[in-house]
Amino acid sequence: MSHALFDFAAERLEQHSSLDRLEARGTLRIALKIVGLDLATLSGEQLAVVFEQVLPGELEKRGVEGAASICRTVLKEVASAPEAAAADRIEDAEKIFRRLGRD
Amino acid sequence: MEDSAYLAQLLTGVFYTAAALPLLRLAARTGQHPERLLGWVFLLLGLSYLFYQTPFLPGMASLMTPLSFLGRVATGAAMAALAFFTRLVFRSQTRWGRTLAYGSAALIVLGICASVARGDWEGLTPLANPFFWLEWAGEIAPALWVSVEGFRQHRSATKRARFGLADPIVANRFFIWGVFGIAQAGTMLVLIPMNIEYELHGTFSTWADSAMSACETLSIAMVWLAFFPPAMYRRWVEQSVRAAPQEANPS
Repeated sequence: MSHALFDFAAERLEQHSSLDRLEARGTLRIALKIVGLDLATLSGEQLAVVFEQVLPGELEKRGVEGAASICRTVLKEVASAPEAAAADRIEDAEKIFRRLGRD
Repeated sequence: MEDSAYLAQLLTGVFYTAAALPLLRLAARTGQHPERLLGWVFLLLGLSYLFYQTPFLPGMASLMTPLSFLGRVATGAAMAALAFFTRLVFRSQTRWGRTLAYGSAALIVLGICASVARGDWEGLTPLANPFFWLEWAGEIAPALWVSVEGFRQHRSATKRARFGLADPIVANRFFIWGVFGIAQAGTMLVLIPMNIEYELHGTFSTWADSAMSACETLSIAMVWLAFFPPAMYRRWVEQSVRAAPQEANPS
C-alpha cells in the first residue's frame, strides 16, 4: 500500500526537520498535490521527484533550514525502505492506459 | 428512421467490434483484466448495434423483437462491463467504487428482467414501464463515471507530465476517455425523447436520429483517438506539450 510509503516518508521528514507530525504530513501532501500524485498509487520514483524538485522549496517557504539536505537524507532512507519496493508494484491508471493504447 | 442513421449505426457496430479485437488479443497475451473488460465493452457495444440494425435489412423484419432484445441485453452488459472497468482502473481500492459498479449492474439486470416480466422486450416504453428507468439509470451512471474519472485523471496526469512523471499521450488519452463518457451519456439522454416519441407516435424523429448519430460518431472518434491514435495526432499532442509554457514549480 502506498499509504505506507507516504507514512514512512512523512515520519522521516518529521524526524530530520523541525516540523511536527501534522506539519510534515501536511507539507508532503501539498507537495504531492502540486505534482498531481495520488496517495493510493504513490511510487518510489514519484516520491523521488517530489523530494528533489518540489519539497525543498515548500520546506524553505515554511522556514525550515537546510531543506535540500533534509530532502536528500529522507530520500536515501525512503529509497531503501521495503515500502518503496511494494509501492512500485502497484499498477495505477496511467500504466494501464499506456498499455491499452497502440504505440 | 433515416437511411443514413441505419448506415451510421451499422458502421458504429463494425467499428466497435473491430476495436475490441486488439484489446482482447492484448488480454490473451498479458492475462490482465482491464484490457479484457474494455475489449468486452467494445465487443458488446458492437454486437448491440448489429443486433439493433439487422432487422432493418431486407427480409429480416420478423426478427425485430428478438434481435432488439438481444441488442438491449448487449448494451446493458456493455455498460455494466464499463462500470467494472472504471472501478478496476480508477477506484479499485474504494468501497464506493465497488458499490457503484455492482449497483449499476444490479439496476440494469433488474430493469431488463422486470421489463420482460411486464411484456416489454424491446425497452421502448418509458412512459408505460417504470422499470425502463432502472435500466436507464444503471446505464447512464457508468458513462458519467467514465467522464468524471477521465477528466480528473487528465488534470493530475497533466501536472505529472510537467515533472516528467507522465506521458503526454497518456494524459491526453484520459481527456479523450472523459469525452467518450460524455458522448455515451449523450446517447442515453437522447434515448429518452426518442423512445417517448416512439411510444406515443410509433416513429423515431429525424432530429433524434441526428442527435444519436452525432453522439455515436463522437464516441467512436474518441475510441479511435484514445486507443488507436494515428501518428499525426500523436505528433500534434507531443508538439502541443512541448509548446506549452514550462513551469518548474507551479506552486
